[in-house]
Amino acid sequence: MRKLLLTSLITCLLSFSAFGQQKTITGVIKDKTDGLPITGATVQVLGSTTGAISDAEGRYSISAASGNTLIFRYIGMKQQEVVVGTENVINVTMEPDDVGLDEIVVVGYGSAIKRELTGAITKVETKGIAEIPTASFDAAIQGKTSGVFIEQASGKLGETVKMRIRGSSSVSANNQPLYVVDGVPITTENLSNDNNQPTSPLTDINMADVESIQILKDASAAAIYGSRASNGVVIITTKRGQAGATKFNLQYTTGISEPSNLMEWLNGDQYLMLFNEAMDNVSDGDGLVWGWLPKEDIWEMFVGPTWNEGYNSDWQKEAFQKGRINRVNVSGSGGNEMTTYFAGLSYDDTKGILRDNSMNKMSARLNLDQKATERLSFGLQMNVIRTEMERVENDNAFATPLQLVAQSPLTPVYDPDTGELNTNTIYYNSLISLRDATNNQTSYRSLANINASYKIFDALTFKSEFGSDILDLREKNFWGRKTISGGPAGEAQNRSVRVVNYNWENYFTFNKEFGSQNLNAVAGMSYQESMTTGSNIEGKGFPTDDFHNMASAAEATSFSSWDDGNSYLSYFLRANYKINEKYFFTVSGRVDGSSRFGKDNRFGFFPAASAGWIISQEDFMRSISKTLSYLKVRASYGITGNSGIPDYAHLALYSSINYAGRYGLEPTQLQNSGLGWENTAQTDIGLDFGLFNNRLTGEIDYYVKKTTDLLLYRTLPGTSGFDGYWNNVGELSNKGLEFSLHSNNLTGDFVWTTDFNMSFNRNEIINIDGPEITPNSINYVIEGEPIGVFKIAKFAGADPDNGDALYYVGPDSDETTNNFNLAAPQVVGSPNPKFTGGLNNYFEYKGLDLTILMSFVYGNMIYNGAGNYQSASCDWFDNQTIDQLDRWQNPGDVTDVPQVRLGDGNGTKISTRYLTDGSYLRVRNVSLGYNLPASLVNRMKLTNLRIYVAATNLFTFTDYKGWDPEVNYTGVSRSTQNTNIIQGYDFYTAPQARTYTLGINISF
Amino acid sequence: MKKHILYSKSLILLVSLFALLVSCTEKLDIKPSQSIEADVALTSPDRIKAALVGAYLDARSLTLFGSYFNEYSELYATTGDMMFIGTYTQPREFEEKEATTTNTYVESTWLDAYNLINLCNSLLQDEVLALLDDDDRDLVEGEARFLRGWTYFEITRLFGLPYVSGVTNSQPGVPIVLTATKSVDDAVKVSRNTVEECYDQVLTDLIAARNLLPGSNGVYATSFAASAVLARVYLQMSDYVNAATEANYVIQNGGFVLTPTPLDAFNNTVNSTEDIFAFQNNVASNTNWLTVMYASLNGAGRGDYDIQSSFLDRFDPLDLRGMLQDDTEDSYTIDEITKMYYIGVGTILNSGGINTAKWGNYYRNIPMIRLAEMYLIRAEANFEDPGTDIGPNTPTEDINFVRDRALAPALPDPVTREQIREERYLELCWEGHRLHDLKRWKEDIGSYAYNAGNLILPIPFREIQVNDLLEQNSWYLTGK
Repeated sequence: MRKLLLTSLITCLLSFSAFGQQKTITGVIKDKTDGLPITGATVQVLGSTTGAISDAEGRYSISAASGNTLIFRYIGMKQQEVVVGTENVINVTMEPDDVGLDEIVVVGYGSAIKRELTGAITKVETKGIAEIPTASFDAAIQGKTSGVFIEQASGKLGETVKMRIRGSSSVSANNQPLYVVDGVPITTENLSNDNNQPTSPLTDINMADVESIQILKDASAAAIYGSRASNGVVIITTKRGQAGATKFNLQYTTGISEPSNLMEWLNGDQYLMLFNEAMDNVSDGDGLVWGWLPKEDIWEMFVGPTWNEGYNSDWQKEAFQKGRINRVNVSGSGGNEMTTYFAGLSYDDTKGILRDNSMNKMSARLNLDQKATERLSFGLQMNVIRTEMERVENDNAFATPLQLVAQSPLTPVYDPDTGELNTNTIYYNSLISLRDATNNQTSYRSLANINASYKIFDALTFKSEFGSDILDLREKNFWGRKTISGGPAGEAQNRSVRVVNYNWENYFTFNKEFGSQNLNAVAGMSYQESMTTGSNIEGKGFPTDDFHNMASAAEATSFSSWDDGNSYLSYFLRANYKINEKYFFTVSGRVDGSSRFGKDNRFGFFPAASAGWIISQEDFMRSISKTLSYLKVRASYGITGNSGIPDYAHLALYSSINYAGRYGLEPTQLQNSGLGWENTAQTDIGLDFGLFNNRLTGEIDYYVKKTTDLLLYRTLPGTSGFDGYWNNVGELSNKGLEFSLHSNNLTGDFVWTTDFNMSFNRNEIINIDGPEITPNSINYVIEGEPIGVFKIAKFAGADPDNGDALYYVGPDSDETTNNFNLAAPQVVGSPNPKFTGGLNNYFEYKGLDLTILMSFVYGNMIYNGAGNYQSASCDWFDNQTIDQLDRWQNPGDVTDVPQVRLGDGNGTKISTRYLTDGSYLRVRNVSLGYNLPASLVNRMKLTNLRIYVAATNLFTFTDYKGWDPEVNYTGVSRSTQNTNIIQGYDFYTAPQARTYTLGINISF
Repeated sequence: MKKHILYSKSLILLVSLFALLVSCTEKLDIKPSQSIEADVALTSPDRIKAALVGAYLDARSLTLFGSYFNEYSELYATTGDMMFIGTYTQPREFEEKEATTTNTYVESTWLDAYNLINLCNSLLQDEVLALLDDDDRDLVEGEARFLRGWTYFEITRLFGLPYVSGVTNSQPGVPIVLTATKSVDDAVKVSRNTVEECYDQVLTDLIAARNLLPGSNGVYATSFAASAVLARVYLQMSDYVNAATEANYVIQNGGFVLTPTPLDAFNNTVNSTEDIFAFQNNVASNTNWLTVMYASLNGAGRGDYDIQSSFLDRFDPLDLRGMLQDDTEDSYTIDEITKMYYIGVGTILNSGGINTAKWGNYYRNIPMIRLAEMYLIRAEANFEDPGTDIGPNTPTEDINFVRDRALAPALPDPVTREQIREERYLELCWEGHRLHDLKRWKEDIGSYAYNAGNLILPIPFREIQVNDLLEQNSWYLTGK
């Protein structure tokens, strides 16, 4: 494909005639970045048809005359012109072309040159991505692309990262994009135990292997993936070898990490003072708290005997550990004209910032491409990965480290009498779990893709590709006898899940020039099947805590095995037509059938069309071509689908259950044989431009995405025996504007480039054909509002007269009440940002480079679900945030913190008291690198040596009072619908890590 | 040669085209492995009987008989004998007698109750019953009616204002749904029936169950279980003659025997001699939620329901039902607990308080109706009804029979109304009776009258949203 395009490009460009006195000029073409020879670069004598192509060592030879101009071109590199003088040798060092108009972009079932794209596709800058110490690649590209909102759930390792491409297109079905790695749609859904937060199989993808990441955003680009493309598609390709001497690369990164932020809690004295006051405020005339017991007895009973011994424990500190990271990548690549390969090996050992949280990853890859004959070539990509995680419990468990902050500072961490961990605490001391429980998850995964292509005619190639993604995940958990759930004699769980996901594709590619026109077409089919099998066994009663396997359990408390699956059968067609390198047209269509849909509505059709016009190529633009060097308009329209619902959602089912050893059946869902795709129609209008000889380039896109026939889990009257059923009803829309700018501020010895992107997306639920949907009485789906909007009572602060929490009675009223039931919930904000974006500055001077990447999110709100414990006017003995000291004390006090009252729930109901602005600006990555001078490096027999230091999440600017504004407690056992709706929700959720790393990268 | 090449190329083209069009539409038929399709679920006697077992499992759910029915009653009723000291916000709302319409306990109770009712309705369809032989048909119909009638009884008294005897109870109860939901079209909006209509339905179902069911039916419902629930229903209606008659029938004919000590009636792996009906629970079942809330032992319970020592003062010092074990150690499980109350030792949440030993193990049966209750019903019904005593005993004899097992000194004859009522509390506390007893006796709960609007549950917010025919209980609209 690449060669085909190249050939056609050369043919176009070489249509001139030669002149002058000839001599033979030779030379070597090298890449400035790594100093390696460039194979396949074209050399052309300006104004002639004479051309040459560089060989595997970068050598070329061409006939030219003095005074001629040689033009050196290579895709992805800046074009260079050299006027021939008296010399016979001209060596050229090519620089990467930042504008990237000629770079190859991988699209579904093929690739294209960026200049010729008619759809909205972003190729993400992957340079340096392997230097960023995040657990998965999606977190490493945060803030780098417009139209893509990426949010990490928390600072725990390996958790699912939220990615929204142009907003949420569904209420109940999946909103995450489709991920395609080397042509195979990979398994991305959480496979871990429902008792804990979801983990992401994307963590397995090794960043050092990644060659390119493309994000297909509009319908024209994505519709070729049909029924799963509504949320956009992320296409990842891995590195391939190039003909030439074997290149070795060795990279080592090491670093430390710490929480990016800590919260401020009451110290011992403040706690004692404030809770004494809280008890006084609920004591009767005899000094009895709640008319029941004196304060001292209450202290003794709930906080424990140490309450008056002057302790001042910092429990927050106990939740964290010093994180560290060690990452090694070794790779070799090379080959000859017939065979090329890339082999890579990686090892990543990360210790998280939360106690007991770690991840250890190993990955081996071999990519092999073989040209068997002129016509037949085949390839193999093989990746074997092992990812092992030590996890901590879910955020809503007493045993999770961060719930330690709820403990009283007046209780010591260790029991002063025994020296053991203190068990006399208000809540379970989760340090016991960190000591006596293990929570281990190991996955083995193989991603393989074998393909063959045969050139039947020059213009027609057939390709068959078989890809598989086999993922085997095992969890081994043990809770010792002294832990919260391990009593009286230990509990263990052994769970395993295997997903066998394979994909077979066959397609023709047609490519032919017709004079100044070109037709490029793809037609084919694919079949994908994903089968999951699993088993789980839990047991209790172990002789000692040393035994963790079921073999030693006294009794099995739970046992299960299951299998499930889904399949897709698809036919697709796409044609690209271009005229005079100025006008571009694309049409595509895909027919998709899925097992997930009802018999009556199993197949869906997803068409798209788009056009592009490079206006700057027109003659009438010549006069201003110095200023407006590049201008292209694009427009596209198309329909994509979503099938991200549970398997079998269309069937009426009775499920098997067991009742104390007796088998049983119960109805679980109602039938909908007409259940079909959710359709998203998207219109995109884009403008690409380059100013001042492309010193400043940019892209602007405006889109309207309208989703109809929503796959909605539609609420039913519960009196029917069912809470809902899957149906295609309702609609929503996403409208947005996104732009990105790239500026070469300074070129020459001192290079300074700036990338800036910003995206505005407006999500609106248009119709849900039923009542408002809320999974938690906080986040709602309401017609006319964006998904997940906060609808809660509005808090009005403390009553200046008596310190009661006050709420507004309704949306249009200044009237307040202390009776929570009379405060009508109102829409008070959205968890969806008004805009997001990123700013990247890159500086380079003589081998020294500095990158500063910032990202920002603006206009979203966050609800602290733990606010009614953490900042609760001393409702219970949980340690309180420092701001509770601003409580109401005397008549006339005006404050937002109601009077402290133990056990009185003064202002603890769900209200805007716990809702805050979640906007932030984060300095996500700062990295400073130094490439040693070539002379020095060559003396060491190396081609390149780079050392770098980096810091991630160095600073965060925000008004959010919790640990981290980049937060979303993902919950446990949560349906996709609830995951979509519950956004911007904090619940003892760990902050992101701030990481400092140091690394070296050697090529030879 | 050229022709040959063209030929082979065409062949390759054809083969590739074939590969492209490989038809595998049948591969799109992937069936579930852990479920069967509904249209075959109730088509054979085996499957129908399996679905009947499913109904027991649904009934045992923590949101219904398994725990919440008990918790609503005890939390609403408490005015200081038990304190809720846990972190969950939902139970706390009931204790404060200020539930919110979005309380998730209430929502799940509503949904699960009607889920169970729908399963019973599905089993009671004529075409389903027609597939069974006579014996099986009586069993399936009897058990399904037993569970349905009993469920309607519980939700009627939780969501509706109290039944008052001697008048027409036109206050809204719950919607009565008696047809199976087979498709989405059947999932229609319904409005609330009156409390009177609900009680009529409860009686219809339970009387039918009593007549259809055998006296012995393994761990499943029997005619005695149906009679025992009927006794409860009649008592709630102040229909004393019928209450005493049903209770007497169970006492006289059921063959049940009080366990040697009060505590022996609880935490059993098989039904005790006293169990007229119990939900089965073992190590492979879900954790018994009552234990989660009430217990505070090594590896079991959060100790959220803290019993006050003042409550224990109600018992005679010799009464086994009021004894406190205060020498507990951290290692103690329910097996080391020998008294009805103990000082909690759990590491899970609250230790150091007083906890009841009635719910002390996650994996033991959940007694629902014990013989002792029948004696108390007979005693109270005979006492309240001026006619001749039903059964061989006087109220005093019945009360003292129950006290005797607990080694509590006998009360002098004749017992008073207060003593009968107190005895019910002492014997049946923490088993989910208190709220309904107080309402029956028209006693105030704290500062609230027995029929105060905040002492009944709200119709869940989600249900009102989806069904505008449903009327919300007035306290949740107006505070009155």
